[in-house]
Amino acid sequence: MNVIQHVCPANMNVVTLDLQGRLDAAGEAVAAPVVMKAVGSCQAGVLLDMAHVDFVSSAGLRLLVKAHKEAVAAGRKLGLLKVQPGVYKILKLAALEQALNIFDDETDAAKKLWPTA
Amino acid sequence: MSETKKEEAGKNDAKSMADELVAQAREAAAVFTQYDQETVDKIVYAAAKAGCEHRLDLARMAVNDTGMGVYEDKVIKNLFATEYIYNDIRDIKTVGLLRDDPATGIMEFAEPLGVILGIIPVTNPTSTTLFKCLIALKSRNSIIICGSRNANKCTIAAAKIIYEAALAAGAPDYVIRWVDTPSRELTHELMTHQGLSLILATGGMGLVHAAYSSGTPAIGVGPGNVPAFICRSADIETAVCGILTSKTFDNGMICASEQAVVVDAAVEKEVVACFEKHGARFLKPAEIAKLESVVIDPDKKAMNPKVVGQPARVVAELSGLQVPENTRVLVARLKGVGDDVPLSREKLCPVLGFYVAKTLDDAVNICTDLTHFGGLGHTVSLWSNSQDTIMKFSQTVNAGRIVLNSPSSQGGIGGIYNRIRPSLTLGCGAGGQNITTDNVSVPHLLNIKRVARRMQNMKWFRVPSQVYFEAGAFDTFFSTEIKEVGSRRAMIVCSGSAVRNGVADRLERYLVQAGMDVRVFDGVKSDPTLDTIQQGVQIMRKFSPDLIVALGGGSPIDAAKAMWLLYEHPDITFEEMRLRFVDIRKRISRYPKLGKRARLIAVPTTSGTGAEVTAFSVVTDTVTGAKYPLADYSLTPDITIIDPRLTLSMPASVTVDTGFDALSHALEAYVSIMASDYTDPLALKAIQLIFEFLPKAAADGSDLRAREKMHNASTIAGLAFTNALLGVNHCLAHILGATFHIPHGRANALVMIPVIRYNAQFPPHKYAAFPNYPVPRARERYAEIAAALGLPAETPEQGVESLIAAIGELMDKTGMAKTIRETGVKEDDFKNKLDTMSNIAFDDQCVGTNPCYPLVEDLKAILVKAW
Repeated sequence: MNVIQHVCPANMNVVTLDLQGRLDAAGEAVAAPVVMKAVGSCQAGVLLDMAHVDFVSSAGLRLLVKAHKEAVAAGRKLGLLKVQPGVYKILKLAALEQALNIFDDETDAAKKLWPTA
Repeated sequence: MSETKKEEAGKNDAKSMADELVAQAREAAAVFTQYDQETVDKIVYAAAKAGCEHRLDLARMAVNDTGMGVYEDKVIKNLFATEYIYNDIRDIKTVGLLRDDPATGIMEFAEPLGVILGIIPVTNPTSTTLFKCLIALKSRNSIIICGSRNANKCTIAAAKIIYEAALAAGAPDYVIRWVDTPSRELTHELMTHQGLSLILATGGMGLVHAAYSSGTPAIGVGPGNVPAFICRSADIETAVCGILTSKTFDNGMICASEQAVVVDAAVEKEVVACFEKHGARFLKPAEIAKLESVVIDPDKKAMNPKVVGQPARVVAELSGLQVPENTRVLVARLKGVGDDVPLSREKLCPVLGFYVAKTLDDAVNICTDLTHFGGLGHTVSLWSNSQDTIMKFSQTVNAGRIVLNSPSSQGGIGGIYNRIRPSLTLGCGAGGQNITTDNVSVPHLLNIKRVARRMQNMKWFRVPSQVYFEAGAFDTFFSTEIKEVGSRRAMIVCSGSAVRNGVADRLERYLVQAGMDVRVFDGVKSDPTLDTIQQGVQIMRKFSPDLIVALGGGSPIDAAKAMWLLYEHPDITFEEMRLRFVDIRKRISRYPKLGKRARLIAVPTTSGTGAEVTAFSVVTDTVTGAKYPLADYSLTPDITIIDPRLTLSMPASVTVDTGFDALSHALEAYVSIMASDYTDPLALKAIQLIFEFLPKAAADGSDLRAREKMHNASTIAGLAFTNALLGVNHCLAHILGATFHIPHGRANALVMIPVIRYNAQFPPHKYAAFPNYPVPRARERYAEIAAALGLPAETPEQGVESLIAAIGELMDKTGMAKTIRETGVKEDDFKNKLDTMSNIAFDDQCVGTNPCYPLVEDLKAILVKAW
């Protein structure tokens, strides 16, 4: 798992994290500190780019839920971008797709999550 | 707290526990959907191994928790639930593409169900848990195990062992969950939970019924009241030992175990002696009375839980009976089945009912009574070496498992004594109010997704095996070649005109010269009726021809075909023959093969219907006057003789009418949805010949060349349309002809131009649904015909118009009527019959292959335009 961070071009107060690889137990161990740090330190919120994630384990799913809960608790927002069909399916099966704010791209996410920015 | 408040609090607790369990299991099921086959199989292997390794301690726990059964047998059950089940499921493909069948074009993919609720019975707590967990894991489902209150500890222990092993092998977290403290409320909350995909209910009837009533899909089981019939052909000692092996296994707790023995009276003494030798104790009547009062609860009308899984000695003690120490089974001789014979019920302990059957029928009836008394659809055991007995039993008795010559417990669960799928959940079908009679396993926990590829229908090109043509072919063939046919008795089918013009006589002489006996049936008139055909058949049945020669226009040839069919198959009915179909290969009434009694030679004298080479015959219903096309390739003549000299005497009007019939055949064959590379060149050639030679043949009937080309055109068009079929031109011509007695070819001509306009409209009013015809192309196809005729066709629209103009010109040149009105039909009569004609035309066999599927209103509109 590799995590590449950049500022969201559509909203300077939002951090986008490009997760690359399997979000299994090992991947979660790499991604979790980066994701939680971003959630804790960002101004408006975090977008997780899932375009390169083709597997999400139980641990990976828990990370997404935890990150979302903590963002909300801190008055921020979390969204997922470009979720692959196999992963989208498990979010639907687990009844999480509504809660986790899924978007096609950064611009769409920024417009809908932070409309006044 | 008040009782109501306590109840409410209990319900809320149950609801939140259920929510938590299901949420966890659902998450696991979701994650599991991503796993590949290799990983799944690794997990299942690890789980099976772990279950097997813990077989002893789990068996001990099961006996200790429940106070039932036999430790050693519970060990075997745990081994069965791991080793046998794993062996059966290890190679099943449960992920991704399962099957790809080129013949059907169907791919099957696996889709897991989701969250399964596994209800575990008190009788087999650890083995059923191991079994259900393994099959759930193999099918990528998560499972929530819900044990019986009296067996919960060992149930949870089994679930935990499998879960830990699965997790260590990479399974998702929470893939196996369990209920810590079972309660009625929690079971109800789980069963009715929205997040559940399936309830796998193995247990008592109350529980199974609750599962089916919950609103969640369920697979349940039924009770078994298994009879074991020992027939006179059985190996007695093997049967007795088998029954005892089964009945004493785990003290008789398996639902598939024998509850009664039904013995053939011929071997009763031997069977009893053998049972007694092997430790069965036959009870006296007074003892039976004592036993039944303990074993069966008279109020609940069910077995007493206190005896379930207890050894024979204990059951005897509880009943106040003294039996020898080594008694394996208590046997009660019984007469009758029902509430008044309590021991005729299911008793999951070593107690057997014993019946004597005077005959095989008697035995089958007793078994039927027993299964209907609380065991319908479950299992039946048969000890027999007589195939007749086995067949009779199997056809009559309603049981999901009919176990032959094997102990019923071990036989019913499968895999040990036979090749039934191993399982610890045995469906009982409708008899047990279950959804299946299967031994439930992995395939029941998968949804199959079928990807259906578009499949082209195989088409065909079927024509007579021999077609002889050229001027003089008639004389050449019948004077020399006919001997090769090898027939001895020939019947000529023709109309009066063939007799009057001498052709029938000439033919008869040729056939006599060839050494045949000959009869002539000249009673065929235009539009042959069923009565005419039956007359011909009567003569054929008396005369027994081995050769039929049809001589004349469409009517004698059509009549000869129908006679041929009924002559060779008198049992076939007209209703069967004329039954409509969409796909000739899928038709309900199939035609028999012809040619066993006679061969058919067709000699057309008009140009023409093409009947000499087609699979069709048009018969008129004598009573209603309706025309029915009979259609089957068995009606295709064996040999066809195309001799234009036979058409020289055709009057001009007949020449023109039949010429337009041939033209409509070729046009319709070309635009048909069944048109192909095989029929297209034939259709185009026929159209070209007709346009060039019909005016000449109509103007000068003695023009042999024109006659030859028209005669060839008619047959070639027949070769095309017998394979590509026709369309609404003929649907309308059939009913116009039948209603107003308009000659068939003329009727075709009258609707030809309106039909072309209708078919050529774009987009079509209604699409023809046929896989080989993906896009409507009638307009383009008409334009191709125009181009083949050298007409302007730079665009499809131009091609259609120039073709229509050319047809109009052809009609003018040949004196063909252009409207229905011109034929003398009265307007009022036409209007009154319009609706009826449209409806009948819609039901014509030719409708289905028209390039634009017509509505009744469309047909009506065409008729109005043709008026």
